[in-house]
Amino acid sequence: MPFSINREKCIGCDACRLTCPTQAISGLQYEKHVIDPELCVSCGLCADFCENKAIYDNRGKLAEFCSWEDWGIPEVDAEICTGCSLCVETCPMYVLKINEPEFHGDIRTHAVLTDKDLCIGCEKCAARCPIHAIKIIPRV
Amino acid sequence: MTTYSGYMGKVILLDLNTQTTCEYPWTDKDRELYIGGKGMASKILFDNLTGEEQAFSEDNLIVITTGPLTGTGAPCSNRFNISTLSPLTGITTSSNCGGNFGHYLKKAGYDALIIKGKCKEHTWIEIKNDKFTFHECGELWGMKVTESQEELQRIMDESRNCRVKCGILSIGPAGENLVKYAAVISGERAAGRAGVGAVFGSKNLKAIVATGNHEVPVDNVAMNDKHNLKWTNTLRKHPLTGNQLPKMGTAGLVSSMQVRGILSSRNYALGQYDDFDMVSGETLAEDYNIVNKGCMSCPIKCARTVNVKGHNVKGPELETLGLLGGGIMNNNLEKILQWNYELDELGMDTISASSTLAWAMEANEKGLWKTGLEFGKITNISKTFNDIAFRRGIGDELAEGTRWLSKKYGGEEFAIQSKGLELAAYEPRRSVGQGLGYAVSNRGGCHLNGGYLVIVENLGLHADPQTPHAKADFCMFMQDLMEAVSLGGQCLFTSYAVFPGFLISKPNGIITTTVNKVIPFLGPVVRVLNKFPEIASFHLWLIPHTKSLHYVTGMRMNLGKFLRTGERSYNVERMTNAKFGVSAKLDTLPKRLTDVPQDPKNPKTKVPLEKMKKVYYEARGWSKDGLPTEKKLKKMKIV
Amino acid sequence: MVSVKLFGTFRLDSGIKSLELEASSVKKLLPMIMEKVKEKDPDTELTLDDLKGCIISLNGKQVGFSAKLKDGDKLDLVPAVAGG
Repeated sequence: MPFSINREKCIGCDACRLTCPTQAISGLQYEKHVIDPELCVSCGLCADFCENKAIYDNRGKLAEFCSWEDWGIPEVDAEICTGCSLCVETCPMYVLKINEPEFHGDIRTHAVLTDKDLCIGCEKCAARCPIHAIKIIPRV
Repeated sequence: MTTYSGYMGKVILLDLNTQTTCEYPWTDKDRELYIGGKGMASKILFDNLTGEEQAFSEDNLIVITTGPLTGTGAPCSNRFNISTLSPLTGITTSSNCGGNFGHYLKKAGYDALIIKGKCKEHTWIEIKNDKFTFHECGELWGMKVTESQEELQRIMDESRNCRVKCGILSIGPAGENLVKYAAVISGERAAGRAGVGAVFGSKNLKAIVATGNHEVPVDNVAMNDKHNLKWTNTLRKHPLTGNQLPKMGTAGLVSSMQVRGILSSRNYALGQYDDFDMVSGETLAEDYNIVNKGCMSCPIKCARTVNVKGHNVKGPELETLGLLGGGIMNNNLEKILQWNYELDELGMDTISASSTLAWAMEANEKGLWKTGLEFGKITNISKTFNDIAFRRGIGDELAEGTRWLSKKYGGEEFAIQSKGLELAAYEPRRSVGQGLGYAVSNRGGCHLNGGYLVIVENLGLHADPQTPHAKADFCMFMQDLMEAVSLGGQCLFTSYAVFPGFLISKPNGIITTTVNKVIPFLGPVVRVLNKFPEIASFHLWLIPHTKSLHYVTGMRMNLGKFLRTGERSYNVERMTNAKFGVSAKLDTLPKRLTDVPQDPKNPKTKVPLEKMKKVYYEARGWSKDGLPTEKKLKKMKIV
Repeated sequence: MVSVKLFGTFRLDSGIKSLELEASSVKKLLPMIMEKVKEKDPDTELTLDDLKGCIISLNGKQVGFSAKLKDGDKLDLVPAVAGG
């Protein structure tokens, strides 16, 4: 559910653009900023930084910041996962990859989370997985 | 717009002359009749081509289509299809590719892209949702495939100041220089056959990049997810798709083909190659393969990854191993890996390139055309491939393919092509049904479009490969089935599971032996099913594709309807080809395969083509000229 | 002595490429191969049935289990499973 910036309220302070983890926000200083819906993962970090409360969610409500500790991270069930790489292709932060084979001739490769600190908990991977091999678990 | 899920509901017609776009009318009725993929492309070509066009003329169309399953996560559903008028064969061709372009084309909001006209300058196109931007190529023109794709990714990233996920389709130098069998490459996968890359080149179109943020709607999400999981598990348990293909890739066939005598060697003069073990899938797996990879959304993962000159690149498929190994009497696997990489980088079809090479070697040996190319001599091959791509020296003529060369220099009996398209690595004289497939196949000598009967005759099952009995009926059945499978956007390998695992893994068991014995007598049964597929108004567990289509699109679907759609798609392609002069006269094989027995002591080891063709046309309900009758077309709702 | 070459997934799983064995017929030969495989890896999951699911090629010609062997014969064992 991508967020959007209210043009009336935005003063172009640039704070949101600098904090956005997926670089979904563009705009020059003192000009109106816009959010690229394709890149936005609705983490709400920008809303936390916006002094003017100019950022709204898709239902028209004021966007809220979801604390970093509350973002889930994906856990891949290696038994189910076929390594089809749909999640890798979906991950906006490039933190999923297909693992290296464990031994020469290993055919059972699967997706792994490379860096949980970079994961933004957007849950797109879990939604994308066609066979539900990905669960979202608490970060800490 | 569409009422069916699975589709984005938009087909875009792109005019390169005016650089404008408009929506192409494609209705729900069409979706029901042709589903998508190749069938959709064939119908669009059928409606728009008159028979006057030529491959490199401005009015030739390129139709890039996806299936309704593409992007939904169904097993192996990441494929897209490119159809156009081929410069190599002069008739329509379709080339299927597993790269991620199809996925992103749907994310941009389109089911298909139709391209007509010709760019004045060298151009690449950026598609971002409903925005089409035409960019001038500049230095991009002339770059090899990987280099150009990396450069395009860099341009995309730079324009948006972040890493952009996009699907890229591009041609290499071979396509730019109009090599008749140039390929279009998406990622590591190629839409290789019959020269679609050259058509891109003739339109001055280097690449297309698609990106967007649409999601593919699914009709019944809960049931679809359940079905996908079940299907994925079936594929992973099957001896072919769960063990053989991941472990050895298609390359694993080399040794089986050797034992059965169908490994084409020495430009199809022989069916076995003494040094086959040195170029086999086993050796590839043991000594060279790093990891098995697959297209996106694929649980099978048959692609190889090998190291060539410090790069981890895609390894060769069976066809490349067979034709660049025994085909030219070369036992150096390391060289094949390197050539395969070079051909991919130049953007060329490995099958046609190596087959043309083998023809030239034989022509040189027979004194028809002195080129310095010799069987077993591998020092000048890399240079020859480069010469072909840039059309230098003998490469300029080699770039025209075997049909053209054999017309000019003679030696048509050993020009291994049908309708201008070079055959794949399966030697049909010990697998006569496959021979029939090669001859009647819509796009020319193609092993897949021809029905892939070799799996019934030699690999997998072992129904008498020498008898013409029942082959025509099975050929039609397999053609229609494979056609239908590809319509949804899925890989043909998912249809291997049609043969239950126990049949294949116990070739000497009682059940398999009985099935093998019975198959030649099953002709009439299959004939009835071919004629009245409506009787199969159910889902068969061996063919889960029908359920998948039902859950994703919401269309009413059953096995009979599924087969009928495949048949319709096959017929409409045949009708388009008829406009370009295809009839029974062109459904041929070279004399080497029909007149000269593979084993001089066994006169049966050749393809009794005329006999099988006659039965095949009857089975299809076509006239003696090999064309669908008016009645047939009406029944199929094509006209 | 008969020189036996293994192919397909059987070769990859057992890790044995070729063997030199003494036997009078194919039927007697197969259990001997299986013994060698077990010797190399006692925990192997391969069975004699897997071996019996092979196509047998004697000096380039396909033969059945009853085929007789003589000194210097070359035997290829290829699992029937294949696809491409």
